[in-house]
Amino acid sequence: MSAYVVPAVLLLAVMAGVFRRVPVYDAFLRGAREGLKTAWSIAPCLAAVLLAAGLLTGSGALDALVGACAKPLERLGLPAGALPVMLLRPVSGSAALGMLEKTLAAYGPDSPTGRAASAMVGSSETILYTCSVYLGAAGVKKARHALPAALLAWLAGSLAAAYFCKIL
Amino acid sequence: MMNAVFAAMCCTGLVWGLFSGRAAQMGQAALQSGAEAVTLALKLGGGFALWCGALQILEEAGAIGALCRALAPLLKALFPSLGEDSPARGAIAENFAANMLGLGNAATPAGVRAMRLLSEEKRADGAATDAMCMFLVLNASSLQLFPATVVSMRAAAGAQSPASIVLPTLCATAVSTLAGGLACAALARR
Repeated sequence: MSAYVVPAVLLLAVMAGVFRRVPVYDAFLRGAREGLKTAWSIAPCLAAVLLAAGLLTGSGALDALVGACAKPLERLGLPAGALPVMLLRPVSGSAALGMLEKTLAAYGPDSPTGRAASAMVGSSETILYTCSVYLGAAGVKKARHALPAALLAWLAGSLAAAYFCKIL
Repeated sequence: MMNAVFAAMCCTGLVWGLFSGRAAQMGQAALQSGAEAVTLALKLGGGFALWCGALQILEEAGAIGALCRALAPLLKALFPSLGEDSPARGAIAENFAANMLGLGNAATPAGVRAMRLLSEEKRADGAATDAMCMFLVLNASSLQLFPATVVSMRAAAGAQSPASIVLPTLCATAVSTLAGGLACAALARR
């Protein structure tokens, strides 16, 4: 079933474009140009994260952390190997991507851990960035209950990501 | 915040590794990290080019406007303090629609505009209003319908079925958005 997802999305985009008389080729180029710029602009951040993650992995500290948390996390249904990705997700988007790359390489993209980590990255946002940009725009100092509610959403989303990866 | 995380990750790794005698592995990992970052950026660039291209077609075909109209009844329930045709509600709809499509470049300006418009009815103590909190939390809980970046990354990592996580991700996104919205509504009533 999932083999149809990517072709279906592309078909939808091209058909919608043709139907609404969009210059589809020119539009695609405009988007692709922005996409390539974005990818290149996060390279420095990836370099920093892969350095830090490489030190943690190479030293064995990450394995020790994951091993220590494995029992309680698995009782919650969370594969322990996805923990680093889950923790970085609300802090920085590109850091989570860098960590996801490490996780996919270590556990395999089709393993339960690799799938859960992938779904975690896709199902929550960078809380830190969102809050700082939008609160700054509004000139608001106190976020009241926004932060606890956002953290709860992140926690619920991460648990749900692991759960749905198991049953779907 | 990222400064503290970076420092903590590096120091923990370095100190732990030196005490457990794994200096060689750490040195190698550190020296490889730069090249790894460039390779990853290139791989991501391929995926970003594909998805941003496809999304640009959808955007120019008027997908944001169509989603905005579909979202109208939902926004009425989520933001009861905003009037039927308040400009803030329009900006919020645009931000949500762009986020659902994964158009970060279109979502952020609309979101900033929405927050500015919402801040016109700021509380006297300079704290966020209920509507601002709801808007923030829903933005922080992800609304994206198709996790394009993750799918391309899984493909680059050699996954048998890169898109097999699309459905679980969508379900998890629904749970996180629902949890955030409910928590926000419950806490606002206090």
